[in-house]
Amino acid sequence: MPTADRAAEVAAFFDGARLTMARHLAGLRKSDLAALIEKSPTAVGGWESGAKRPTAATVAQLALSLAVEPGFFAIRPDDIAALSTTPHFRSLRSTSQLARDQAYAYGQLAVDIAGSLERHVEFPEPNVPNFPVTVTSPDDDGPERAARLVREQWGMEDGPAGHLVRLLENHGLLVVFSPPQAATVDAYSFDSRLRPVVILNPIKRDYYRQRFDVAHELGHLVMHGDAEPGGRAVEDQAHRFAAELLMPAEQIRDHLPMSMGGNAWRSLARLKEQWGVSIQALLYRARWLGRLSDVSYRNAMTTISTRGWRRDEPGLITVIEQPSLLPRAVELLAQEGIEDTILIEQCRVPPDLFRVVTSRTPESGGLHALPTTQRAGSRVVSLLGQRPHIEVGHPGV
Amino acid sequence: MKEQREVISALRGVGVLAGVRWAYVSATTRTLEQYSEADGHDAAWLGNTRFTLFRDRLDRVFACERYAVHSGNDDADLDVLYDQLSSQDIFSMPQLDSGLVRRSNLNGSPGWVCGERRFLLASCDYGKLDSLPWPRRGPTKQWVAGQRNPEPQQPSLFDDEEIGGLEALLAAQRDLDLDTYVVSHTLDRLGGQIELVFGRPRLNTGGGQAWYWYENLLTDPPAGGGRRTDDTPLPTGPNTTPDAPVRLRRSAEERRDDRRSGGQ
Repeated sequence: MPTADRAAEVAAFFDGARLTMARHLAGLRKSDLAALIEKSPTAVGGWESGAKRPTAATVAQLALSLAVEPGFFAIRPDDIAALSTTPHFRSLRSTSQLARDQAYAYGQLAVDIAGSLERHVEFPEPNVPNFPVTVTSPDDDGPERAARLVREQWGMEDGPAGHLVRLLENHGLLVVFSPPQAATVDAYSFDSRLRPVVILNPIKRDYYRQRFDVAHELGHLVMHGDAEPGGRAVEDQAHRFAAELLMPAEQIRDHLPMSMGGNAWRSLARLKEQWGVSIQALLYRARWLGRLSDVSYRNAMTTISTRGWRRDEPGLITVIEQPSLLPRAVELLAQEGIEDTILIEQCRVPPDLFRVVTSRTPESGGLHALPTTQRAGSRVVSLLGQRPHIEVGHPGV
Repeated sequence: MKEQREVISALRGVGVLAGVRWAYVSATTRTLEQYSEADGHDAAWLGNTRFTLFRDRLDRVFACERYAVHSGNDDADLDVLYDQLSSQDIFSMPQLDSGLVRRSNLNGSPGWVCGERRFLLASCDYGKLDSLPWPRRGPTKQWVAGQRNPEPQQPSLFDDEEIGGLEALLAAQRDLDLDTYVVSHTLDRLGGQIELVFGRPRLNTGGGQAWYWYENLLTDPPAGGGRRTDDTPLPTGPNTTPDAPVRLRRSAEERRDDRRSGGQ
């Protein structure tokens, strides 16, 4: 169908929330979008809130400027954003509102795609223990008890946790990599109408540290359904949860070094491979459990820096854990003769984004990324691909 | 100024000056973002944060200290390198090889070395660069400012061989292991203005010029940067963990068919 006809059709079923989502994915403020299509920010605000309805010509213009199909703006059976919790982002201060909005919109899109696929396939039922932990009593051992509860309810055996992403997926959580353009935002998580979602950082290519991230996000989902995201206390609790889940105190305490002399580094390297956690996490654990003194811990961390291990810790496993729910669904449907083009049409999302969301591995590169605004300190790259009307630098192409 | 030309063109050529500039712009932008009088921040907080972040950004762009890499893979664990940086910072960060610049502190004062040239950091009040009072700074900065001028403009009063030799001997005691320069930086907190220079300080005992020469690093066009991307494909390795169970959803009709055939 020609775009103009499609736009006319969509104008009748226009959903302001979808425009907000597209704008967030593109990393634009209302005023940026208004400038792109030469309309006022008030008009954009009106369309997004539903107070005003855009004309067919405007819908076509919006679609072109944001690099989506007009169908993207069409109303859906339910508004996902309204039914999701606020995501937990780490370091709120360094992540701009624009970047956070973009990350959240991406997460919503992943839920949207999962919802679309779930009309054809069945995923495991969501089953996440709920163990609210208050942030007002930081000395309480709530995070540790929450982690033990998860181990118990999910029937995890003593010893190291296996494939962590698979563990979450088997209990109905959706795990997805974020696109490389959004790499400033660390892993994050939120609950949605369908199932809880964990979005992984695409440039963290370290098996051991990524597992810790997954456990950290699980901690938020188990403990912080209602907590205000982003606070230091909340983040610390998620870290303690992750540490207890991956390195249960009772099982690991006696194996942690009490000083950094002798064979300490060798035994840390062995523990690292055994438990699937970084040496830095093990050192921190040893400090937390009172095995290592402050001084020994600090010296050990200095050694880690000097050896270049903060960025590049030696380890045997070079493959990161990969999500399987969405990729498996796409493969399964392909076997049934349903190609991904049909799925993309049904989901009404840009094909590139569909592939990023349903991929087993993070997309590498991001060379085609385009900065959308040139304002210093706030440059966020559009996830929607190239738009024809803006003149900006084009790195790497 | 022969020395100025040589030093600046050498350091500019390999991207060190672009790295310093990037580090300072990133550090001051972030400092001003966080600065809040309502939170009780004051000039001391501002100076301290600005210094800490500047040092951190220099370590990042030059892959030193906690941002060092050991395996020669400059793109290892980029998430650590990018942590807390804005997208703008990431895009504009110059791509320099690790090993180009190394950390070499002087008496505990953070220093970085490229080739045989070291630089330290010295903050200064905005607009007061030219009269920066080195004698009122710590002993390390005084020592650095006291290095011999490599190209005295006028013949020394001590051209007499005997006295000249004595002067050279005294100066030799002040010599450092490496030619050491200073990156001086200012920030006007109200206007958000900054200054950033690289130069050879002059020990201005009794007043006078604080520099033999300096170069304004902010007049260069900013480096294009370009985000680093780790393009090494992930090894697919043996994956022994099975996928999570995903089943085709069958229509009600199929299920009825199933029941019928299953009932037989």
